[in-house]
Amino acid sequence: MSGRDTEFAEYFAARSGTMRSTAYLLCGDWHRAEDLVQTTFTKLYLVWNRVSRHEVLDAYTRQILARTFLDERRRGWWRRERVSAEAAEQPVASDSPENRLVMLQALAAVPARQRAVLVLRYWEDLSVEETASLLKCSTGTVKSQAARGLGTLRNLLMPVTPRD
Amino acid sequence: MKEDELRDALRAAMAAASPPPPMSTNETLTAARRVRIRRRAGWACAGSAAAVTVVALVSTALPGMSSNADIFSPAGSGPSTIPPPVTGTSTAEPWPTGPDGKPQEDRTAKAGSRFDQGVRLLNEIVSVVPAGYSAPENPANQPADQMPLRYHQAQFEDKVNGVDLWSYMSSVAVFQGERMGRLLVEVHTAGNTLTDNPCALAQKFWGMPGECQVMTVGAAQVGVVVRPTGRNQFDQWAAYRHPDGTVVFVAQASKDERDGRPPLTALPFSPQQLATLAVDERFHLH
Repeated sequence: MSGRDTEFAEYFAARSGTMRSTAYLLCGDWHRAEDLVQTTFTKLYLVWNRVSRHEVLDAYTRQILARTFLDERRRGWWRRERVSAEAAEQPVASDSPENRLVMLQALAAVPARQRAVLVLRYWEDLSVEETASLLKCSTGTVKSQAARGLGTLRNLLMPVTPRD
Repeated sequence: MKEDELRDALRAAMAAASPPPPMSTNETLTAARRVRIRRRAGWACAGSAAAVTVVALVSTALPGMSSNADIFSPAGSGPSTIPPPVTGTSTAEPWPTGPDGKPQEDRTAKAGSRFDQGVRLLNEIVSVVPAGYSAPENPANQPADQMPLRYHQAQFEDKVNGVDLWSYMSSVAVFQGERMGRLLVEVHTAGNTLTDNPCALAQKFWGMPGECQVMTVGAAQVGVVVRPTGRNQFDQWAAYRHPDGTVVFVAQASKDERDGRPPLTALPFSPQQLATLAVDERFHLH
């Protein structure tokens, strides 16, 4: 194995788990998450000699991951993913014993771009500026997408009100 | 739902999630190699007729560009649309000359004095592993998809004002019986542009945020993240910038997420000990 491949393999072994968690939050399915990570690392491998600086490498990899997710969504590649209609029509009780799974289902129901902003801001803990740079949009867009995404989640997770 | 509630809910949800087994490094590497070969072949076929002309044009227009075929960007949504992750100067900066008089193939030194500094850093980490813990040698014929127990790397970072900046990173797996954690030290040579604010510096370590405390070691102020609030690849890490600008990070983890062995029951060092190590002259490399 070449030095390039060894370094890449080590980086993959070190970081693929973390990237897969982020991918899972983005696409809501472990298999899709692994496909997304595979695609991301393939793209990374192609430019490995140019970017293999670990101080910023995570940020770069995350950038590829998020943009690949959004681009694939645009191309309909994720069509089989759970979509929002069902969850949106069935708000769940916040005290449900499956609350954590419900949280992930609700997140999967948030529109993709809003979801990407939520995941980057509140899972990856990126700043507004970092998120804007990563998604190639303005900070204002990040703020508005985050607010909308939180609003959507709020509606999805609001307690069920008994019918009169 | 408010921001903090979502942050907590995501962490709780992921903590309760049951991820599948780790992905196979070999499969990913094989797939990536296949794409690279296919792409190179595609480029070669498509461009064969015009290759001489294109090479001549590129050579004229981009005299600083390396002829390394790896510098092209992938098509589509990948890095071709992403600015290269540089911190100051162009990635066209040629790699330093190795001990054989030839330019390095990439950022990592494979031999020579810089390589030796990485080895030295590794040896210094092993020497500070506290009693009650062991740091075994790498086993022979270790599979490529397993992180080595001991690892070191010397990497060219950048050239600033004519000065080559390097980083040395070494890590060791530390054991208590069958339980395994990890220690890592990373050193950035003087001339780097990292901050001298202790806690801001600590949070620069691999871009990981966390609860930070400033600790005093003699006259030195050290930033110590005692609990990560983002990624938890490490449990704690200390950061210190020497007066000459050399930066040292010392990190410890009770577990290695790439390894199936159970985690340590206790971290090897207290936060104050971690701070002391960050200041330790043994890690003050140039």
